[in-house]
Amino acid sequence: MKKAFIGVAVCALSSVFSFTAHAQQAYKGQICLGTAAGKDASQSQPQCAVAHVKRGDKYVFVNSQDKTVYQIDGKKPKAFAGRNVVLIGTLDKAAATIHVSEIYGALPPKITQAKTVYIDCDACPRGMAVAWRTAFEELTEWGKYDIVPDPMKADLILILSANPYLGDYATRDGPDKRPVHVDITYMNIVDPHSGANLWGDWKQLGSFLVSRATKDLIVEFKHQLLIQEVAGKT
Amino acid sequence: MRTLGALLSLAAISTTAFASPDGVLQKVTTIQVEPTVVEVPNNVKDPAAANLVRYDLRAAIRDSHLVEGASRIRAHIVLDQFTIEGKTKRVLGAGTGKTTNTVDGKLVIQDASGKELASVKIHMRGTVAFSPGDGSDTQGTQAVPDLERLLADDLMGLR
Repeated sequence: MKKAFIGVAVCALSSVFSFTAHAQQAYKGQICLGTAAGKDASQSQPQCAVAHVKRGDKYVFVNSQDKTVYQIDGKKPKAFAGRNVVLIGTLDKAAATIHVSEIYGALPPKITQAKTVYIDCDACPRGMAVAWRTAFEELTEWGKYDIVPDPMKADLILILSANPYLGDYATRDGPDKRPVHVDITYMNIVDPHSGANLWGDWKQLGSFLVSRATKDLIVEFKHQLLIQEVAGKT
Repeated sequence: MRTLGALLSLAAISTTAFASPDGVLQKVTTIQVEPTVVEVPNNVKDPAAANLVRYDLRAAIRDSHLVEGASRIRAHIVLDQFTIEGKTKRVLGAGTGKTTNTVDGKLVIQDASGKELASVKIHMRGTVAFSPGDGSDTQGTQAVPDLERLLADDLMGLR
């Protein structure tokens, strides 16, 4: 198990650091609307409060550290318009362009600063039952969060379910009555006080590979958190 | 027969053993949970076992209206044996999502100096750390695992 964890860690780290060979880096900032790019953001005046995305809109990346505006090349950032993101790519300083290989939505501070987590698997009948234990094992090996048995004392709730999360963790009265068809494994990181979804993803591997799907989702979450931490240091 | 079956399959038998004076936790409000001790690793092949039973102990402390935190009173589990039910039974029970474990060991209460204040023998056959509840087609609140319930009873017995 330890070897597997080291393998995952090496993979995650290598995906972050392997790009050093190609001068890739992680950048934290915001996807805004704009045309010009360069050192002085005030000249280009990118519009970062994006209410509606229109056809033909051009996106730029505003680096959160030095406020430099960059053109984006390689990936279409439309889905992230107006959002804080972490980009992985190579920087062409002369053209003020980042050649992007990956884009992730930035994780909120509630996730990065959290110390404790409660695992909730309330939609886990039949084949879904293995999800709780897989999550417990993966999080224990990771060691970033203390897994607490009391949701009231947790900074985050990790919800595993065969149904999509409805955002009602804090307000729901009694258990969810939706029927469960075990096919897709959903994982959501939720604020225990508001029930707001802070991060979520899903894997469709059927009812016999729920454990694998859960593992993949946690690895994906770890990967994004690691990249964000690396981006915060560069 | 049915009663016997139920007793054999789910009953969690705990024997108040060697040194478990009643009231040892009478004036205690907070307990510090220490890591699980595995004395014979060959009898505990599941690498997650120690963490799973410690999680149940933490949950049991909450269930018995105690607070987990820094305290002069410490609790931990000594795990002598932890086994998972046979492969055939697991396949047969796959539809319910339930996994049955056998747990042998003891719950130990100590003071800050390491002096043993109480020790309660544990012998249980049932669910550990997570139980999906009755296998239905709808979502529902997860059931309390058998080990958590047993440990909560033991802690209440020491109050």
